[in-house]
Amino acid sequence: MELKLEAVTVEFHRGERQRHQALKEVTFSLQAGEAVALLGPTGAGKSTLLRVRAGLVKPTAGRGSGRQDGAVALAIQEPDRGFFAATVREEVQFGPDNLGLSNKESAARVDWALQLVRLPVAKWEVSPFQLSGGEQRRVALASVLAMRPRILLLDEPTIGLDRAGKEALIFILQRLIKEEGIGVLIASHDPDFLYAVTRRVLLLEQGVLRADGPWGRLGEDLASFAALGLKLPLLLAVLRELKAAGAPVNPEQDSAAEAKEELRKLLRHQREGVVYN
Amino acid sequence: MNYGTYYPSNSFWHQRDPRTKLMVLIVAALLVVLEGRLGGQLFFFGLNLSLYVTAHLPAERAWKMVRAFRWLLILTLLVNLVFSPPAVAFLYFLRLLNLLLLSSWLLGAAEPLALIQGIERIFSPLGRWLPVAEGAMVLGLSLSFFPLLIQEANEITIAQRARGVTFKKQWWKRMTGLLAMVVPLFVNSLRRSLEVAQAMEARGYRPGEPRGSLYELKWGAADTCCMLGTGAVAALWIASHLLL
Repeated sequence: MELKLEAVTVEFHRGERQRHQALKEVTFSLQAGEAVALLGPTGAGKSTLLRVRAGLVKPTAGRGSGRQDGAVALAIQEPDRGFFAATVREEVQFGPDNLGLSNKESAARVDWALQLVRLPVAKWEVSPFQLSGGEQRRVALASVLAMRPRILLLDEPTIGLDRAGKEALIFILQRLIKEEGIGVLIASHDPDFLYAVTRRVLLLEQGVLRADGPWGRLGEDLASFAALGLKLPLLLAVLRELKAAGAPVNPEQDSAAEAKEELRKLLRHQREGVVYN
Repeated sequence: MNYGTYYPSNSFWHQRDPRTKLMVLIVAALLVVLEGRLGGQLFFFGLNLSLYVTAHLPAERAWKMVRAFRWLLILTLLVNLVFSPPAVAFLYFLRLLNLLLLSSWLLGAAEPLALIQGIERIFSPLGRWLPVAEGAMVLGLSLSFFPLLIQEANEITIAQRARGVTFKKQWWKRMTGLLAMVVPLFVNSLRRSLEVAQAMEARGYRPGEPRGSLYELKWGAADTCCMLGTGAVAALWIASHLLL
């Protein structure tokens, strides 16, 4: 499955003084099984873009809002604010029940989703309000995953998560992308988190799509990257510095795993005493 | 833009003290309610329009308000046309329109928080017997958190739609959908109000103790003139009733 956005423009408060174009002729596509990062300073239109994709905001012009049949699911910032059920299990089962599935099928989906987000079975029957912040976030993710979306949109998923929570989320998302073939679009301010999960970056500035391409080829857009007050992922920055210092590395790495491999290669060379100038 | 929201501008009325605007509203509303002559209502209608225009409020705003209340206005007119002479029906219609126009003028020209501050100052002499300052604080907090509550409701709608809630299906599904909206809204509001209370206490708010304000209200000569003008209109109205 593929999702497309064609020349989408979104305007708020049309025909009024506070008129504001949140998106200006944005075009791009996202395949199932592909992970894409959505970067941009505050107010660049990231949340609006996700909402258009999820079919929650109607574009003023252009085509390509997502469908509403559960194939595209959006997890908002702090999705645990939508909790209302008595137990974690009921909370996650709410979605499948809404799809009109049989009880058995719903329960199977709940098992699958809660196992996927690695929530200990002992916590499945407690109130979601009793869980820690990181666990609540995982339950919220599970409740969206139980809908079995083909494309998952995440709005700032790392807000309020500690290091362990972030790492757990990275692991879960990697599995979703690789094993379940789910397409993921993540808006975030955390470059290291994005680099660990995605291979492709969309750069938004004031509603305009400034760049769209793999992480490794950000070279040309680096100037605008810094000008927007955005930071490069640490691994990419280190590779670039090393390259600038004359080390034989290729800084054009599309994922954190590849960047790490490149660094390891360099270290091996050094240990073997390869001399370079 | 809404007919009842603050409309930022730098007009004559925007610069006045909120107490002035409140007093103008109270006097004008009283006169409009008491006026039983069609000619008088027409006169006040002209006066209210001039208030509206001098506050630089756009005509579109007034039109939106009329449209929002169209059923009430039409119903008032029709019901009274049936039970009373046309002049009286038109009088009631105009009275309602005048009151709507006045309220839209006040809310457009005065920020809610400034209004609350004005109310607090007007009622401050009662502070010895009633918790006026606390009441004003509660009112102000509710007002400033109202937009947040709407935003919160929107966010929750999005979150629950991602989990398959639609508000169109059978009624029992709509009920669970409603529950899925209302419970988080309550939980989050309670959580937020606890946080606000803690933040206020952390910054030294003690109920019952006297407080100053960051922006002191300033009463100017123009405010006194406005009050005198309002008083003059009221006096003229009384005189017109005694003489005519």
